[in-house]
Amino acid sequence: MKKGSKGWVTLVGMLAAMQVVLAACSSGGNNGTNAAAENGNTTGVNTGAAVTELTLWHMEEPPNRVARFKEIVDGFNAANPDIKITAQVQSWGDAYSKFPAAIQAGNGPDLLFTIPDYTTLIKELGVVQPVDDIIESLNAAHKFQASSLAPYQYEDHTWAVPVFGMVQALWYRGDLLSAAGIQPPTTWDELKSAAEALTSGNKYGIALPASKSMATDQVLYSFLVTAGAKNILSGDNTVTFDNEKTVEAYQMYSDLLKFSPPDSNTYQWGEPQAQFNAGTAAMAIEKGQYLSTFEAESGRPASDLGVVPMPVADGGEAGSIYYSNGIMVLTDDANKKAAITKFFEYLFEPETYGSFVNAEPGLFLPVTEDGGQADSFWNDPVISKYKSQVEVLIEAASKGALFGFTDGVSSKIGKVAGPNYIAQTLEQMTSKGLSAADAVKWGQAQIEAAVK
Amino acid sequence: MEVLGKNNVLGKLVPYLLVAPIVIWIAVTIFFPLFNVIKESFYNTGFVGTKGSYVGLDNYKEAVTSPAYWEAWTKSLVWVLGNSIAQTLLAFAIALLLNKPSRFANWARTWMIIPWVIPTIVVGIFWQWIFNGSYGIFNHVLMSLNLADKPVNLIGDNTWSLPVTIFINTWHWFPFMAVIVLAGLSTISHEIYEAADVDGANKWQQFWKVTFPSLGPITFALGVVGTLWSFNIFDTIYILTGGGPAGATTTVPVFIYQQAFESFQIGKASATSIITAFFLIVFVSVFIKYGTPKED
Repeated sequence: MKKGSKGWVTLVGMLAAMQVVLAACSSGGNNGTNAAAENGNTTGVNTGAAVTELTLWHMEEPPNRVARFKEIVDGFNAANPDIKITAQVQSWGDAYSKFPAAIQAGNGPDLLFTIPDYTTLIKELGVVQPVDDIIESLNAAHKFQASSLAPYQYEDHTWAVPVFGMVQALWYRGDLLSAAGIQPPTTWDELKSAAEALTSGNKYGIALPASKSMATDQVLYSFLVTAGAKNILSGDNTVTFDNEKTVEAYQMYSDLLKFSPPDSNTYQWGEPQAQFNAGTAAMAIEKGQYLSTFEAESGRPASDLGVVPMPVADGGEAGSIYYSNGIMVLTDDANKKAAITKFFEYLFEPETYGSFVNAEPGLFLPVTEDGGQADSFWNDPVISKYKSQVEVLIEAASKGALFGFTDGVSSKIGKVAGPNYIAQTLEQMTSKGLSAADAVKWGQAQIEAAVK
Repeated sequence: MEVLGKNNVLGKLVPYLLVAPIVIWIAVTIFFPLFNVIKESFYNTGFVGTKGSYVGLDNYKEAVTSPAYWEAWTKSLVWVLGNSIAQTLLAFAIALLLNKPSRFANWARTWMIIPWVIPTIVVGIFWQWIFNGSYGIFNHVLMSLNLADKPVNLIGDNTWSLPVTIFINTWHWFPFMAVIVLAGLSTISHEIYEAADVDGANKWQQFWKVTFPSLGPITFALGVVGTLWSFNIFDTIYILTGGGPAGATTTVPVFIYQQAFESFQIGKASATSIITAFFLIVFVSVFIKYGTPKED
């Protein structure tokens, strides 16, 4: 019995040893790609020809976007048998709290979706690779919109490849404005008058978010831009938030809130759109996601959905918030970089790119000149139905701006965007009764403390 | 047995080997992360994953001198007291009502626990619907009864948001307390009440002289556990108000979350957590020392 046991132990020991030897052999035979594989980045597959595997994380969770991105990635994989990209859906909610730890532990992706201020944060980890070569080649072929590239260009490099842009404009219900005999506003004065005239009983002239949220940050920033106060933080992190034009923008926003539903200070992204589609609010300031749901949710024809650029203040400038979403490269493996270059070439080919951007028609806008003219973009059923509205958005995108990226690139902008200081400044007025001037002073102090 | 007898060292090791897995588990899941939080509290780490530089006690100094931290403590105290009082009164009242054998009591005991079993996220969603300032049923009722001429926005109101959040949390958790109190009531012998009846004690006197003292150990346990539990509630508040408006519902846990994951100040958030944990440990020690029911 004892002898038998010893035999089993010896056999199991030998098997284990063989496993270790086999594993070591298979590591050595994969052209070094397994070192990265151990970090969760690449898995070489010994099927004769080596396949470069890439992981892409994106945070566009709605099913239609997931499906379209997968379609694009599958198309690329089919056209490139030596490369396999796996697209994994993540959440923006985890992007700040979990991704950095995963990346540092070697479990991050090779390609990571981003927005400008998120790039400044992830760059602190020292893993973001410059994409100058990729941008140079894509720019020569497709011509990027300057406003889409600018927020990713600093410290002598470009840190992400912009893939689609988002811009805000003033949406209006054509049926409600026509019934009241009001023209779509082009100035702040006209906007305020229209909002007031369209408010009565439980109908409101405009629906604005006023909670502590990114939604409020962004709509407020469109007012800062049109007030002429788009610079809030410079490239050397000097805070220039507290000025007369910023105060004017906050006062205007606060005035407009009188013509917005009473629970506006709990609104984020969805509520103004819901009020707008329900016909409870006649105007709203947002991006292009209004296109795809308008008819179904409002029961009104597409022609009732109007959009104009953000109204401008006296002495202000045309524009609104605009930012591009991009993709960061987090691997320095040469094989993977070559595969990534191929992927971007495929993605930006006009016949592919229009389809990619229309993962969310109207919300995602092309960032290249030929992408903006591609049949694959304009032939989408939603885009073709709202062609004139989309043209307004594309025009607005060329005049867009993003806080922290207008006067050099602030490396600390994430610390202003994260706690929503732009929105919190408004809360000082709406909840604590401060004047616009005092609230902006408060905001200046908070932002200074955050970036010091 | 033969081996154990011959080798006493192995015999002594066996108990340690048996408890080793759970000790290792606790070390890995509690002490290792706790050690990391303590370590981070001495660094100016920005956000998870980045490396900060050593700043000594600076984070602690900033935390204790931060008006926002003490404001959050004020909110936390109001939150804990509000919840404790409301939940205790409600739980005792319901438990006393249901402590009589009747068909209604049996039915109510089952259905009473529904708020408790509803996930917090669902609680948040449907109370937001009820109190919604545009189309919530609460406003509909107020306006139908001419009690308000325009919708009120309780969750988004600087004055009302904290009381309303306390109300919702009380609604969510009082069944748990009621069940515990009911369990305590069932342990009191009927003979004591019969003796009190014979002695001429009325219902009120029976409650104060028999029921309440008998529930001492349960009240004490609920006092400690409930206070800590209530203090550490984050999800309900964050779902309903996000700590707003303008910080009106920013209790200490919400404040720490905002420091860590909105302002990206993991170092400061760690120091704030350690200080807060210290205060809670002091509270528990004092409560246990002076609040433990005395054995007669």
